[in-house]
Amino acid sequence: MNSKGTGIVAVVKRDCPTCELVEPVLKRLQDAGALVTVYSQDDPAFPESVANVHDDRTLEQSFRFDIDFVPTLIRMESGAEAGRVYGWNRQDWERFTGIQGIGEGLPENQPGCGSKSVEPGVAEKLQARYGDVPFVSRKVEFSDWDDTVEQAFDRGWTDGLPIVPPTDDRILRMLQGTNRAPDEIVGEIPPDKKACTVEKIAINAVMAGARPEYMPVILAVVEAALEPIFTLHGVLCTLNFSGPVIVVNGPVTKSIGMNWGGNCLGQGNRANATIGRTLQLLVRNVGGGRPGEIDRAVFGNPGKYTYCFAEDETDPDWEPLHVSRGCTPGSNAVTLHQGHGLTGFSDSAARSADDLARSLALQLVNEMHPKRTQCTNVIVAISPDHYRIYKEDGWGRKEIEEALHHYTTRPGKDLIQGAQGISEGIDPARAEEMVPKFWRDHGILLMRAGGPGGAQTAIIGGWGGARNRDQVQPVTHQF
Amino acid sequence: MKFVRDPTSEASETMRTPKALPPDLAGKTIALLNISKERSDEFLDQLEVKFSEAGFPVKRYRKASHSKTAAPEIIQAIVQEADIVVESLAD
Repeated sequence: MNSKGTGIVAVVKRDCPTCELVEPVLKRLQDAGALVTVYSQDDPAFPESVANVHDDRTLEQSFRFDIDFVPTLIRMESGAEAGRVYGWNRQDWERFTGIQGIGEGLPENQPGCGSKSVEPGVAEKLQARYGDVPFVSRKVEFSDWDDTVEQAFDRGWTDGLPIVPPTDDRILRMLQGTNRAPDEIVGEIPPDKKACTVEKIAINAVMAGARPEYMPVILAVVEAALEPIFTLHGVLCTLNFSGPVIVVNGPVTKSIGMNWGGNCLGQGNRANATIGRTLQLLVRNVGGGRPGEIDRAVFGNPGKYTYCFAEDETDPDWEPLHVSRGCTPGSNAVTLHQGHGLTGFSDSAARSADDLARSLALQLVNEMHPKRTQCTNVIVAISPDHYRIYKEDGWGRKEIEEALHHYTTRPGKDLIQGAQGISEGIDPARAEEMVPKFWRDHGILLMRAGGPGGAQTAIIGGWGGARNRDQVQPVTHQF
Repeated sequence: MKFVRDPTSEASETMRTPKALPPDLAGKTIALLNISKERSDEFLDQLEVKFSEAGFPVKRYRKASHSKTAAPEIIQAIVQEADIVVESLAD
């Protein structure tokens, strides 16, 4: 480049057959005084026949020139770009450089290669290093000798498991998963009621190990959790076992690779694991909800690390959970339940829908306490083998729900305080009633999930706060 | 230097403050940890006398070198057996 910033700049890399092809052209352009600067992305000794090649192995210049392909020629005039060509095309290059008859013996045209500066994972690193980073979260600095993972433990940022350090390049990559602005406030996270931005969500999603394509689901989960009727504050500071349990519906479950099948409530699936974990890390880090502090759970439950899975929507005859709760068929949605643990129900003997529903009801009435009623909601996830029994008798969602509510409704006299010699129970004034176990409209969240081969249904119990029916409910959020 | 972005609500300083000392030593067992620097023993011997005269149980520990952290088994023993740690002697 001359002192007035005028001339042609070339960006090349040795690992590019087209760059190798045009080396004699670059030499010709340099000899003619047209080519003034050459940047090499991977080897400053390339191209050998061209003088004064600049080492751009840091890719800083490639980043600043916004190079997508190599070879690229850029005409600079007084320090500003006046045009560019990329790849090799004789006519284009002759027109661009004003020099005729270049590239004798070369093919007329050959496409270039991708620039190293836009390889997967590289672009964000360069943006973080040399570009504008739109983050307002403060930097927490460490020496180069510090173990960042250990520092996160020391600072109380983790749930007891290691986190992925939230560096700027990782956060930039995570934000590619959403069009929402980093400074958008999604809501206030209890108990500290601090504003939670998309940026903070992305930071905690990085820490959880999530991928950018999970961000739409994660944002929907946070929005659902912050709806007042989910009562997140109560859920996170309860003495009870519970935490948020997340069910995901819609095409997104397939496109991001969620598990609704075998071991869907267990380990091994990154989307299942990290979406749920992101919410818990946000509660901890942004909301300030930590065990031993405002979180007074007597036991808690393992789901407070993460509890997230997808519904099995492979049978078109089955109405998915989110549609039953008012979402548009085919839409994406998350349903959040104030839940805990897992009760395994296994019945290999039932051969009719009614038999199976009666059997399942015997287990369901034990949730929270056998003699307590209308105090908790449950997720009931039917495995393929149990679903087949219902379907063969012509039962769908409506029939199963009706049967379960019917068979979990019991005489009040057996449930009142003192009945059966047990102090726990319901108000003695209800002795003459038939008392339902669950609220009719949202008490049983029925869905399909699980792998084949086991005659099982999974029951995910719920928080006692649900006894306040009008203030505490599961939330479904379409997105 | 390297850095990460703060995942919290940023309600506290990035530089952490040391844990506050308890308001008094009533009922506490005192661990005296010798960091193996010159004359540490002499200093801790005198501290042991003072704590003992005041009625506090004392346990003695020693780490191999003042330039390195104590071995995990020493730290674990202190955590199990004592409530307060005095380590010395630095210059």
